[in-house]
Amino acid sequence: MKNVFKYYVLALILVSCGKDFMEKPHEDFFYVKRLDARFPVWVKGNLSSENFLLIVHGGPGSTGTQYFRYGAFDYLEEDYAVVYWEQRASGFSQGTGAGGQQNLNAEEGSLDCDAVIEVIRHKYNPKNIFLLGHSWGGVLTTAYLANNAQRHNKIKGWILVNGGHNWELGQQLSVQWVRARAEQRSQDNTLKEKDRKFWSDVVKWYDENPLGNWDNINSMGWIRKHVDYVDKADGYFLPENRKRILDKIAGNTEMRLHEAFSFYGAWAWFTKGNPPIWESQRSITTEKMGNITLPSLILWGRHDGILPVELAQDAYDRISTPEADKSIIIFEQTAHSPMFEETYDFNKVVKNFIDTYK
Amino acid sequence: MKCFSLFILLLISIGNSAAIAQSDTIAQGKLRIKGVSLAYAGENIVRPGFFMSADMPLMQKRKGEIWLSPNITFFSFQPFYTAWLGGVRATYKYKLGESFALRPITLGLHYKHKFLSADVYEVISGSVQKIKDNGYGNLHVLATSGLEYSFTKEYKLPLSVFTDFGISAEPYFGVFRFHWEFYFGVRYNLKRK
Repeated sequence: MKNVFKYYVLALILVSCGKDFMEKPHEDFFYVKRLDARFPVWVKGNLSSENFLLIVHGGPGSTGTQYFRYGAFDYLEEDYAVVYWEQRASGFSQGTGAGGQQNLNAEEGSLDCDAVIEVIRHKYNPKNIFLLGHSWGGVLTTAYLANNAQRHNKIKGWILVNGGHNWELGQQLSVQWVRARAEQRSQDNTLKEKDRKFWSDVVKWYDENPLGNWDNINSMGWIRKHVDYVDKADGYFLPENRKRILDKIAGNTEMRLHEAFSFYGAWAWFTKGNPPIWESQRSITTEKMGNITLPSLILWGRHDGILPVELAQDAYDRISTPEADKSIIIFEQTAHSPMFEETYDFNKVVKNFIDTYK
Repeated sequence: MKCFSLFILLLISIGNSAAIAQSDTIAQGKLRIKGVSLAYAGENIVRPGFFMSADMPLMQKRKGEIWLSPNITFFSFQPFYTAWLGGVRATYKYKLGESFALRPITLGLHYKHKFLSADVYEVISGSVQKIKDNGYGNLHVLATSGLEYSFTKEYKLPLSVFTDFGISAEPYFGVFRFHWEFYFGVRYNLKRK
């Protein structure tokens, strides 16, 4: 009986090996623990490479697994080791999290990031580590690099992708972006009347609900509505790319079930307003960006509605990296995520950057 | 946390009302194991596991019954963790004829312990260490609904099959993490003395 039980448990473990998460035989998976959180970390691609690329995902509260489920960095994985890290209270990260929401902010996130980098250095001792931050990951990597000069010694180059390094400007631009499209669509006679009315109501809503103080518990309803309007105005994905991308990231039933209630990650970050997120962003990101002197590659989607393209120049101007070592590349067929919408070209420019500075 | 407290109160109140009612229905008011259940358990349906319980009637009337089930449940979600749960569930059953019963509500309260399935590293005083991590535990509550079919009347077998589907919640970084929960299994009805 004891053996039957043992084999049943073993069989369950084997059948529960979700193929979407498992590393290939030569790849690595482990946890990094900090403040009662356990962060899943995958090291994929060419592990014998001396060059490691750490991907810091968006959100907050999203998941780093979306990138490898999509194959967003597959070309880079041929040459380099690519590290996918699941942040605190995000995706499939584990633990109950000491301090709860109190520790869900860019400051703690950058300390978590440092712990992951230290573990990578300990396990692999790579010659070079490059840091890539997408969206919220752009906030977090800005905080990581801008607040501690010693961290520059651990990182060879920074890749900022549609990042939220200047949240206040970003939100002003985002509201302008949605309003402009809403106004245009509300007067577009090729659209159905009910659609024109919808966009007309959106304009009215922004008139009645101007961008306010985000450090306010009541702001959460506003944020949710704004994000919904950005999405409906195609500010996250271009319409022609949307279905293909979402199907590839979470197209199968098993993955949809694994991700059921995945909003709980974002819920942990955003519920009750979570003032520490916005406060820390102002003081440790935007205002401190001048401390960043690393080689930097700034990548942006032309049609981003949540963090519009003007932010690329803002980031470029704020960092103190010499002109020769910083550049901006705009992806013309992309909204918020060039690694999904223009995967090959995105991989190519990142590879070029790594090869230049490795 | 208010929702969590309300859930516990609801669980206790079901137990209390059942205990009051049982003086009419259960001889000597003693809890006795009258069935043993085994089921497939699926966290978010697809993370497989099993469920084992001892089932005790708290109240049995012509149509309605309340059963209390101390249980052990196991889930596996690789490469992340295996989880063990121990606790108790209260199931209200409403009979539809001789064999079918609705299980409109089952409420459960458990301790859930997750054992991580991979190495864990921690930076301690500036030095990276591979640590022995025994996982972590937390409270787990669930609410499910389901159906049951008894083979006793028609086939003279002391067996029932049941299925339950619902939702669970556990603490997660200051809020709650939810999962779908799915159960499909059999209950062996023990003979009366």
